[in-house]
Amino acid sequence: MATKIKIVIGLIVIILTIGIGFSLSQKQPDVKPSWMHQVQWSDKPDGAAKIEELLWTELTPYKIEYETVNISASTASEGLRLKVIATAKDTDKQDIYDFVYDGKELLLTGYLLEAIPFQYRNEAIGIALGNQKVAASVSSAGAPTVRRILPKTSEKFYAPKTLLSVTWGGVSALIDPDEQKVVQVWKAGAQQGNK
Amino acid sequence: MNKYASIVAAILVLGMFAGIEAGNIIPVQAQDTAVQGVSAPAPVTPAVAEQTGNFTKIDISPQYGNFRLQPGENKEITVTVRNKEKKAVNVKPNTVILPYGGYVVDPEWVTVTPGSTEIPAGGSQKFIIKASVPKDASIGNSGLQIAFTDEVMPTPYPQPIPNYIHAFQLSIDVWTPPKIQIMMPYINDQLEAGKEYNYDIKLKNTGDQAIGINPKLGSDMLYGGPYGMTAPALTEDSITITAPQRIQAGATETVKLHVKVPSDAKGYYNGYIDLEIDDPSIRDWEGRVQLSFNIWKQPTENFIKNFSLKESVPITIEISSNNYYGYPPINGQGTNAKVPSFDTSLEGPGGKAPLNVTKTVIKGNVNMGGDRPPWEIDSASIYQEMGIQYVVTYRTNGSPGEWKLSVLPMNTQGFDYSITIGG
Repeated sequence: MATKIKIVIGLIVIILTIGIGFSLSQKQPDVKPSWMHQVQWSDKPDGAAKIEELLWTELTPYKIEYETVNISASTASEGLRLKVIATAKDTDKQDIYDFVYDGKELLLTGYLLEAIPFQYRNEAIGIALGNQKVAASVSSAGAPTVRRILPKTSEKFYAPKTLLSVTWGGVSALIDPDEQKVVQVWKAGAQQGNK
Repeated sequence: MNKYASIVAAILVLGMFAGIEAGNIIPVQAQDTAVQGVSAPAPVTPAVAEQTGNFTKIDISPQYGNFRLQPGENKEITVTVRNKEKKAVNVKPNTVILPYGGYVVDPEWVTVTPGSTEIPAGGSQKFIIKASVPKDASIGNSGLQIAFTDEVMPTPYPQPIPNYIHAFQLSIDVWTPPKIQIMMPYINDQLEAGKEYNYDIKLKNTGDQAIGINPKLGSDMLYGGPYGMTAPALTEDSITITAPQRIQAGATETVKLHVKVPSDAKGYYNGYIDLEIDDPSIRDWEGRVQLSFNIWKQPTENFIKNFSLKESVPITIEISSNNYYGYPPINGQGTNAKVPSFDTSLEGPGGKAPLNVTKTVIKGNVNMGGDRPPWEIDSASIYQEMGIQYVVTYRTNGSPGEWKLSVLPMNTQGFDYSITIGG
């Protein structure tokens, strides 16, 4: 009986030892989102892991997955300047984000987000051209730019949600892709107005 | 000691829960008070504003609302009415339909709670406006007003719908998800006169029943080119549409578009294909594919420029394509925009001169904000390439006499030239 108890205790100790050892050998969980496949740094700074952790909450692909995310860092008076360029398979255009990292917080200072799947890009152009004011103002048959507008910017013009900006030279339509409608029209030299 | 600590901790935890509960209750009570605090409907004083111009001082917040609902759905919004008068005001919301456009919302879809109330001087009252769309409602959108008093803006002539001063504007958009997805709702391309082009428009039926289609070229031209409403560069004869009559449930079908550009065509064509999808969830303007073609003709005759030299000096010729200022001529679907090039020759007193390309320059225009829509202000610090220009430089040795420069441009609708004598 005493031998059996010893064997059982021994087994428990072995299992616990293996378990603890296995858990210690594991790395920290990878916080990189599943929609981000490859991350490349140029001039990787100290504390890059912390920066990445903050970055992953700020980068937001639009109906795509980021194939590569290139991060370049440069020192500036206000902190570390970060330029993030993200590419995707479904579009030949990029998403560009500018950040400043002061050692604690990450501040988005600018963005140019054009990585929009072909289908949604064309859909936005179609919606814009369905607006008579826009259609009548388009001055050439050239393709417009289609850019994503983040909610923090959108709320000043419509509502705090992702919108798309379809812009020809001097004419732009702000599109609500969920409601499939033009919510603002801008013409160079004139004040913007509702559709 | 540990026992006392446990008791204290338990009290603290209970206290926290009590606090949370109380926190939840307070706004509910306030809301209940607001909703239920309905006094007996008091007669609303007929407006005297028309005679006096003195309107009752009432604030309505918000003043506008927009509901996008599918049949069978409902939504509500709380509107606060504040009495800024020094006396109580009787308020009785009244739903007023605005019969503009073809679609009309049934007033019975909209309820306002409370139905009437007296707001004390300086007080406020919350009203809940709820719209319930019946399951059998057809799609469309319409506006209505909730007039809280019957005071109207005086007008010199009778109006079909009085302009209520104390009104909340509500837009109701009844929709259903479209069953046909148009994979290519926009075609923008650069076409060459005398050539033919094919485009595929894929349509996917996500519903559980076959849906009929009958694509036709839109009969009304949407807009002209850069010089206003000019005759379109293509006629209906130039565009042929081939399509199946229906798309089976779950299937993807292709509408084929063939464009035969007449050899004498030039300018712009902006129009649309009306797919005439037999799906009531798709509104007229949604079942369309926008067409935008820029038609140009490749010249066959050379551009000629004569000049003379008084002495033997080097001649430098620079030819540059149009700078597509604004936006590069990339296409929505087509890939017909090509890199500009030039067939250039130079003849002098001794015949055709050897013209060597000394350099080719690709010149860009990069914008960092500039004249952009205000919602793109956050891209102001990021480089944006706006247009590309191709510049070719040639050089030869010149001798006194008459010279002739010949240029045949390709894949560009214009070019600049410069002739540098000497240097």
